[in-house]
Amino acid sequence: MSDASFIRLFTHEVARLLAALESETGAVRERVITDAVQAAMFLDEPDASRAHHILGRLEAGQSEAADELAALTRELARREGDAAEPPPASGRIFDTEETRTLRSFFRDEVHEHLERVIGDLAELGPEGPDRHGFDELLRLTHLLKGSAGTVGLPVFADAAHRLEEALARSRGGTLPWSLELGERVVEIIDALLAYVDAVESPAARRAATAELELRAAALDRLSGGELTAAPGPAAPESGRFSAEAAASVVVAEPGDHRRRPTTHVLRVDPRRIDRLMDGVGELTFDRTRIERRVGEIELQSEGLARLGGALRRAIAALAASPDAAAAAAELSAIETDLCAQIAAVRDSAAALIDDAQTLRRTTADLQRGLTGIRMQSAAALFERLAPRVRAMARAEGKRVKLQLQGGDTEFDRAVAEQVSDALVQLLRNAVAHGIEPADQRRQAGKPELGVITLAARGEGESVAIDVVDDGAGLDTPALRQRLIELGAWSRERAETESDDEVLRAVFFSNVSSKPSAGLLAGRGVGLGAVRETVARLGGEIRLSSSPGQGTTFTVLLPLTTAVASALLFKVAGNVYAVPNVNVVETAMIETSGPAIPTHLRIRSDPVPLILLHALLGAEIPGDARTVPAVVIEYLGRRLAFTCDKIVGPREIVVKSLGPLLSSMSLYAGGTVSGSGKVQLILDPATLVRLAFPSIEIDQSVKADRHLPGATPTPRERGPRVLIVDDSLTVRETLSRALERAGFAVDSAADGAEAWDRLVSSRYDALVTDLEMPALDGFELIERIRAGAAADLPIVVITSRATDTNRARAAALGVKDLLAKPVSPRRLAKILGE
Amino acid sequence: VTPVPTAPPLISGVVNFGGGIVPVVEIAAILAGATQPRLACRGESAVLVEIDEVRAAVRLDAVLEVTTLRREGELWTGAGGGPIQLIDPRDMIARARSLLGGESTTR
Repeated sequence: MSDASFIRLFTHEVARLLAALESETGAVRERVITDAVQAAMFLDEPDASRAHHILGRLEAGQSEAADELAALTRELARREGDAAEPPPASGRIFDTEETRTLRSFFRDEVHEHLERVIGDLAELGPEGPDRHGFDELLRLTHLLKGSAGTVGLPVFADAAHRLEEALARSRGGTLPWSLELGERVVEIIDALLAYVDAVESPAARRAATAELELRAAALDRLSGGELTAAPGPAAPESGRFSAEAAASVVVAEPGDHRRRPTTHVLRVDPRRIDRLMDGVGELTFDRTRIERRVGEIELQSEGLARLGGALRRAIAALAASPDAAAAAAELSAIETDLCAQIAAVRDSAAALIDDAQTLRRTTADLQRGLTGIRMQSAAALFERLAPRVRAMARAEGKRVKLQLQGGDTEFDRAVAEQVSDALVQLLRNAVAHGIEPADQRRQAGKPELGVITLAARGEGESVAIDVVDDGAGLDTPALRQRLIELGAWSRERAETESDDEVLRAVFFSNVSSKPSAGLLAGRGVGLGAVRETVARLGGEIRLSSSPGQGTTFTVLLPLTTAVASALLFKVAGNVYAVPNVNVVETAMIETSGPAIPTHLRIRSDPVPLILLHALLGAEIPGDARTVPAVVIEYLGRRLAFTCDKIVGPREIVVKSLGPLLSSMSLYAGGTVSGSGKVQLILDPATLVRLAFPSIEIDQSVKADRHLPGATPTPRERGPRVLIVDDSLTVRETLSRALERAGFAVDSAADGAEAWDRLVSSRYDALVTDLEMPALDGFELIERIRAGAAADLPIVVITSRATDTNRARAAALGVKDLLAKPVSPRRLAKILGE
Repeated sequence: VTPVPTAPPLISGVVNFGGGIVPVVEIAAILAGATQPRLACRGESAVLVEIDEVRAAVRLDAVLEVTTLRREGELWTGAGGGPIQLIDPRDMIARARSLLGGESTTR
């Protein structure tokens, strides 16, 4: 049984073909036959073979085959009508690894083309696209429709087909271009983009399919229904139109008009590149080894030279005594040999030095080249975010213009992918809470159209991304009040700290995550998570705000994560590293006094000093009168730590310590030295946390709770729920629904992240998916049950609500197991109990 | 072996294996539970295990031989014929993970 959507697609192509047979010749004919052959490929056997057979004869010039083709489409249409239920859109060609890979390419392709289309549409005036514009639109839509079929996405193909219909009709004049049509077109394109993003997650895909159907239906209504989808060959109306659509495809052949330069995208599996990067790492170590060997040879040749000198002196001494003349001659011969040998060693040393230099150049080139492959332009990331912003603005009922700047700034693809969610969070904040409602903006004398700017720029070894809104800005007096209410700050501190310090506090967890916080409603939701994501990538985040003018978030990210510049130092005989970007300076501390000071004075500022020796279980050598200290800065905080010896700056290849040690927050990873020894990299974020315990608001809140005499914090906030699911769509829909239901919600993308959160803050309930990367749902629950939070209420949401899973969940004391898609209302009700 | 300060006793350090970093796991400490004082291994041998993409070097006193075991009822026997206690590395890694889970964070 062929899939209904594919039958529809095939029927449409046949209708076009039959119309073209009557009026067209040559290239157009060939083109429409090819299209039909392509569409036939998605039919099931034996339909596909039959269709191909007939089309083959048609191509060979046997025009009577046209009737058979018409008969076939009628038969297919009848069978489609007979089937009470369409077969599920899964199974047949969906599950192979190859299809998955293909679909990820398709996803890139769709983004590449449709983002550009959206950009073009945004610049259009009320008169709509010109002829070339329409041609280009039709060409791309048609192209994507075909590709969608190839990768087994009939829903996408069908919607693209309906978009193509509307566009063709508008181009032909039957459907005059209007602002409304433009809006519908943008909406369906956004829905297409959302669909390709959601396609790998069954639940998200269902949601995206529904949305797509909705948008396509809206477009159909505007364009007056789908005429060509009616089965049967060539109703005159549809025939004429279809021929026109076909012609437009041909017009868009290259050469004759101003097509935009297409960006050539190199698609490389990141894992492959990671392996190459490892290779480069090895090369670097080889270089170090060679250089050491060269050093050895040089030493040897020096020794030889000394030996030669000694021999010469001995010869001279012997020559002074006549008896030894013969011996002297012999010695002299040895000296000659020795000299020759010395020269040889010198030569080989010189050659080795050359080799090493070549190797150094090669590795540098390799590193640059590979880093280049990993690079992605900011535009690619921004264009993926733009439709999200438009969707958010629609959802919030706000008029927002998104400005993109610095699209040609490049940064690491891996960084771009990971930071994307964080940027979405910042953009959501800007749309929902930064930009004021239209009436407020009018009152403030601002234009109703809010402007959000997403700008990237290079800043030395970092890339800075600004998310700027021209909204009301943050209300720092209210924030101070919130900090007091939460018990995070004392009244005195809240009254005396600088505005900067108050803004910084926004990132540390729950300052404003309370749903009923009025002025700050939701303003801080997820900012803690954003900060953590950015910190994990080795970057940092800054916030500035001016009342009435707007808010600016700046995310600073390292250019690349693979090779980093680090400062190496020794403690107790072992070499450690810190990222060089965080190093401010090094200093010497006097240890002659009885105690090591708790603070250093760097210029005029006091900087807290961490006894790294103590932290690493070592001691400062008793005889040391001074020890070196390293001053680092992270998130605007400075601190110093002690060490035994500073080794110096090095380029290092950062490696993970592996899943077993991932919970050790003191280390950001490790690197392997030239001699093959592992060196640990300290995490500046953890050092800052240790030096400034007061900024960990989570813990101070917890402390309050356990102190019997402490003033109870006035909190009318709802219970805290942690949602764990690897699908962003699920996280978002459930978060929003639960927030509306009065819960304070955090989310995590996998079990490992969830565990981190559970360890660092307290939750009243957990909602988790089962199948997730890093640490799956059951492993997470087992870990929770084994640990302190043995009685935490847990609800499992899963697409696999099998009896086995239910039994396992029940054995682990899971409160409930819900099959996806989960009704948010039902979930809220269960959590409410 | 590079020591990892602040790690629980079951991790005695990390080593470089083929350019990657692998934690060295003390099997004695795992078997005893993380709360026990470290039971020192005398030997410098280790077996490298990889299970579900988790790699670990498990330190041993000595590797006696690499052999094929035979099953006799509930028991496994080696080439010499005597019963041999079998350790499931998957279970061992799972235990190590759960022991490492929360306690080692310095937060």
